[in-house]
Amino acid sequence: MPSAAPMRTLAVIIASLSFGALGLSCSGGTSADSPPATNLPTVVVTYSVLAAVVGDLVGGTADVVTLIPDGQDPHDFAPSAKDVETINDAVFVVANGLHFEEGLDGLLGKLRDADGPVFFVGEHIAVRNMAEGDDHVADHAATDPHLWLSPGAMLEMLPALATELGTALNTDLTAALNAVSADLTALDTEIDDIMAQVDNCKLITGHDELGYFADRYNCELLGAVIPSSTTTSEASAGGLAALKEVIDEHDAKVVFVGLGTPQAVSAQIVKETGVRLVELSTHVMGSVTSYADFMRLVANQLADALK
Amino acid sequence: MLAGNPFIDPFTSNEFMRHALVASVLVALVCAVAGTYVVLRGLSFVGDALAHGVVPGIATALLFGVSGVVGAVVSAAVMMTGVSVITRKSRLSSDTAIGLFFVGMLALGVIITSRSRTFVGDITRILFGELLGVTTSDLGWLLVALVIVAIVAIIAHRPFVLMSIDDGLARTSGFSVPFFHSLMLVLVAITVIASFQSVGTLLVLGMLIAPAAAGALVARRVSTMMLIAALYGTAASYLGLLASYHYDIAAGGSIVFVAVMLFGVTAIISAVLAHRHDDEVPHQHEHHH
Repeated sequence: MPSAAPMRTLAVIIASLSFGALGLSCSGGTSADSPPATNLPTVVVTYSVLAAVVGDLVGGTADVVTLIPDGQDPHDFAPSAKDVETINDAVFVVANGLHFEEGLDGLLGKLRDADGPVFFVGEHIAVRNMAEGDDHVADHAATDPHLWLSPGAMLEMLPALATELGTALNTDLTAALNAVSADLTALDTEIDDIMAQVDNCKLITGHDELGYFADRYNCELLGAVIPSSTTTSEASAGGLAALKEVIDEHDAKVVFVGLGTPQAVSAQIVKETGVRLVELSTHVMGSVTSYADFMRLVANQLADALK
Repeated sequence: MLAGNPFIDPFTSNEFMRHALVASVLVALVCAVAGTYVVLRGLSFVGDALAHGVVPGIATALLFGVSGVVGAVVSAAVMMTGVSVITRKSRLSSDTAIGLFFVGMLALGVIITSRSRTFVGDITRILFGELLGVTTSDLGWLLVALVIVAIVAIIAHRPFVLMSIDDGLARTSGFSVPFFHSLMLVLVAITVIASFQSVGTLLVLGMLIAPAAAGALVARRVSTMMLIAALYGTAASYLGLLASYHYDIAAGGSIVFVAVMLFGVTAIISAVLAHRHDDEVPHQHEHHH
């Protein structure tokens, strides 16, 4: 049996190694992008794609801070103490609201109850319900939160946002509203043109994320690796077998995967059905900087893989 | 095609079902061996702590693009060393030491995964595994673990059995109790590390304890307990997967839930039988080997 002294030395070494590794992994990111040192009021938006839309609207009249770092899954984000402070200190908060930012539900709900300056996009659009048959027991929300994937939905909520945000910032955002609305209308036409290249738009995705997009651009949703509105569910054997059948039946060639799609399970589907996995960035801005570029990228990724 | 057999067809027509079944049966076998000692020696808490304690290691390893197994091994080593150092060097009980490392490591795991910008260290996948995406190399790892655990269990059979009855008995027979206790923990660690990729760290514990507890309930010989645990674990794997298929529910959770249910049924039946045979001499499973 090993004596205590070398065991302890070993423990210290291992412990310091693992804490060193932690330090490295953490140094990369603070949760909220630190606001630049200006005197502008701060508008907090929960996730990056929505922040791009809000950024277009406010222009230089406010600092837009993204709460959930781009690239992290908003579905299972848990706020840090700093994030709570950022929200509480904000002049205005914009959130999806359809149970999308699950980890922020409590915090934002409290803000709303206290008549705080919070805007839920989901309250200002025609909300899409999850398709019938999607109503799994695990789904607490029957509504589809992926509203940012249609410029039309953004267009719909923009007037209300401009009014409330204008009041909070004490500025008139009418001119910006008109400009951004015109851009969104043009973008909508552009996406429509891109998707027109696809004859038969049938989609299989990581989770049920393309509902608004499919409704607007005439696509059919065949299924998902995780048939749920959130990535936080676990795949079931029955669901996977059903997906395989759908793939066979429709002779589907592509499965679009992204943030939160279980990799090993996706790989197994490829192995058994011969489909191709295509990365689709529906929840991440990545290298693009504007909402228009984000939507173009999504549409092109879809169209290139399907045509 | 419609006349298919609902008990067999899901497996014959889907490779993922076959892989999942083989993986969970291998997990069941490894857990039957390690789990029996866990139950007999009251190591459930250590098992739980190990199952959760490996999370930060796995998350860190995945973050750096290293195999999660490497991280799990490092985490397990840190935990077991830490627990034994604290227990030996302070007046605190091993329970307290285990609890400290358990929450400490789990908290570290949550911190690491919550602030990782990449998605590979996803805590849901670590906790619940990807049973439906098990690859042949995963199966290889499980087989290796099974062989190692079986060899250790055979070599150390006598001291392990004596220690399961009483530490003093093992000591008077000339075995170093601390050494074999550590060896037993290593066995549990290997089991946890080998199993997490398929059933996830959270559910390893269920497979470790439920079938072995049923075995300990009905058998008296350690080897019989292990055999029963293996059978229960295998049955739970098959029935759980079948339930996941037909009722469209999460695979890992179904298997462990079935395992716990099988234990419950066994406990009730054996209690009823014990009550009925109250006056008789307790039934002994004495076979000659």
